[in-house]
Amino acid sequence: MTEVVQRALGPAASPSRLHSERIAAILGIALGIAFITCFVTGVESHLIQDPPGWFLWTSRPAGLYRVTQSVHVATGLASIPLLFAKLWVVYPKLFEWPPFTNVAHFLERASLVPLIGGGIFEVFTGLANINQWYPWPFNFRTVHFAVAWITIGALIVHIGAKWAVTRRALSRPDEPPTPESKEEALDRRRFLLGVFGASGVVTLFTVGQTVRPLERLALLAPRRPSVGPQGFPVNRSAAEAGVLELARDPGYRFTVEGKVGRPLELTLGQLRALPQHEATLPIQCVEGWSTSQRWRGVRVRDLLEMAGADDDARAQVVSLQRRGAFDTSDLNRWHAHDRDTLLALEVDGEPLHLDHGFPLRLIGPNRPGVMQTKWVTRLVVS
Amino acid sequence: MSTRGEVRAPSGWQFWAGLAAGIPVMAFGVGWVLGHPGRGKPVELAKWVVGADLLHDAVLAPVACLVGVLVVARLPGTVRAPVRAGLFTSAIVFAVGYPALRGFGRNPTNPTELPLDYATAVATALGVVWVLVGLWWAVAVWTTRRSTRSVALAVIAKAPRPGSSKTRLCPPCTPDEAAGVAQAALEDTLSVMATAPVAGSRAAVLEGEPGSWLPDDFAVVPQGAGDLGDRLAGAFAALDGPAVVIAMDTPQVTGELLGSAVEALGRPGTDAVLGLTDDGGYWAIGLRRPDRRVFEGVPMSSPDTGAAQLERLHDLGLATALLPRLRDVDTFADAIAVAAEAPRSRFATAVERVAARTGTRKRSGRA
Repeated sequence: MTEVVQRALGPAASPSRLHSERIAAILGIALGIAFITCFVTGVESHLIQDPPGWFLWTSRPAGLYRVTQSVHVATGLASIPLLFAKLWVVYPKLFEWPPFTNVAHFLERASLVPLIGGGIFEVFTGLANINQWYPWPFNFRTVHFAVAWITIGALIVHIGAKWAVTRRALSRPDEPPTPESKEEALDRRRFLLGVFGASGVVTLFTVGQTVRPLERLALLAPRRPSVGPQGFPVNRSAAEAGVLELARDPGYRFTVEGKVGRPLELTLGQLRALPQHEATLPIQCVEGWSTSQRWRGVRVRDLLEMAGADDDARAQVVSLQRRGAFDTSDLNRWHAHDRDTLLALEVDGEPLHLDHGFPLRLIGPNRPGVMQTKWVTRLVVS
Repeated sequence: MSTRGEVRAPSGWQFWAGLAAGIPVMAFGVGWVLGHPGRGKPVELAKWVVGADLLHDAVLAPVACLVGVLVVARLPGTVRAPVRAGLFTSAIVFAVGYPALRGFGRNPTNPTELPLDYATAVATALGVVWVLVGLWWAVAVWTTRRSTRSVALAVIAKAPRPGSSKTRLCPPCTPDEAAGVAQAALEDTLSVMATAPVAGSRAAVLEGEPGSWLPDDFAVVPQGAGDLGDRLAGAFAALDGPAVVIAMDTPQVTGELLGSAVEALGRPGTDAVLGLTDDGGYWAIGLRRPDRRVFEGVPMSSPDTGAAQLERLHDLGLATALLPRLRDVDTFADAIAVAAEAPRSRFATAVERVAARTGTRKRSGRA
């Protein structure tokens, strides 16, 4: 059966040449590196957003998260062609007979279900998420995180199972090259050029969402980093968040409360009268786009000092936002006291646009965009 | 190499170590979903993950393979790899652009989401992909041309003459008919040579006088004396450079076949090409450099000629690429089989005429 299928699959001139162990090994290694990169950067992002007690995310270097999250999304996109090419190369093995010969073989093949299903699931849900498309009944972050662990666990099993085969497939053959082996190598190189070329094309047409010089090439990216009010995109608009009235209310007050000596209640005018600080900081959206702006506003650490908070105080920033997640974000002690963690009133010399968080938004170094809370009304110190 | 027909169970400590390390990692993921049943929806999630696997194995992969068999495998050599890459990349580009194209995330209150006209954007991206495919193909054609321009393509033939051409076809052929069949085979071969996608010169290594059947741009190289081996050696010496010489008894030869022969010889590391025939001879031989020794001690017109020739090439240390095996025309049964392989050729018409006259039933082309 395998022979029939293999004969049907390959190019007529060379029935099984491209369904080779060597190509499977090369693509497998590339895909393994891509998946592990996505996993590490993804777990990092997850820990930053939901930090367990033992995890303290640094506020420096300021652009670190921008790099790791851009890498996460770009690598995930680039792995799509690698994944499907790899699956095509090994597809004839699906029809191997007998399907397994012993317990180890059964376990190895069973692990392919979570590996392949999980791999496709991860690239699909990731792609849909950057497009803000949610055609499923579960929570994106919960399942993207959980299935990542399942897929990587299956990948570890797979690496162990294919260790010997891969080493052999990549070793130099003992016999001197013949015209046939050279022809095969040439075919292999052309095939791999096509596959890696597809990865390159996908990257070329999407990475401009975070690499500014390539912005005009970002034909397949759902965002352009310079398109939006004040020259950068918006993830959640004021209308979506339900703050159109609240944010423009003349009775707006900003308060600092919680574990403080002197609770503060400030009007917009009073905030503007406080010492202002400027910083150039990126917004890195978890969905892959990023942009960098010059922000101006009040340092969080100055407010903490004014309110008489402890030197190692932490704080929660609370939004006016009525709808949607991410209406608060936590500042750990490093972020709360970083000299560039601001409650910004202005961007690039103008008061914030309503969609960018007017009257007041959090902007700090080395944070995911969803934790740069907009329409801030309270700082709760703990 | 392929593992065709071989089923391998994993073994070694690496497998068990991978299992020991991987299972807890998977268990953590499963535990995470089960620990967040409201957000994770374990049953739905399992359906999606297993469904993704099934969707690939039952739909995506078979469709990809079908396109491979129906389209890619039928393309000639130089264009196959670029088009395969182009089709694959197009599918990926379309899939990546699909959510934007459909505007699933479009949001009236947030025009920064999906700021482009994605029909134009995806079409532009696909256009770029196919421009790259075209460039790749052009480079492939150009490099092939460059490496094959110096390779001459020649046929070694007798000018057809009743009573001396293809006499083994008689009976059922009359001597005139046999000569007609021989002339048809030669004309088919010459016209395939003339239109083959190779850039080098063409020549006919002739015994006898050239007739009107010889296209104008073919050089004529007279055959020398001696047996076939001597005459081949002489032909290569006269052609004085890399050359592929074919026989005239395989009118089913195609331009693509000749192209791949010339291309193989033009490739660095290949010193010779050889195309064997079903009856033990060979229909084509190509040498990078003329070398009289190639034909020394190789018995011609015997059932071992092909094998002996191949062994001789190996003995001389010449890296030899084998061309596809063909059936050559020796007897009238061969002629009928070969005519079926090239049903629209002059040769098929000539054979058909004899078969009709003598009442010989046309048989299947497969031996």
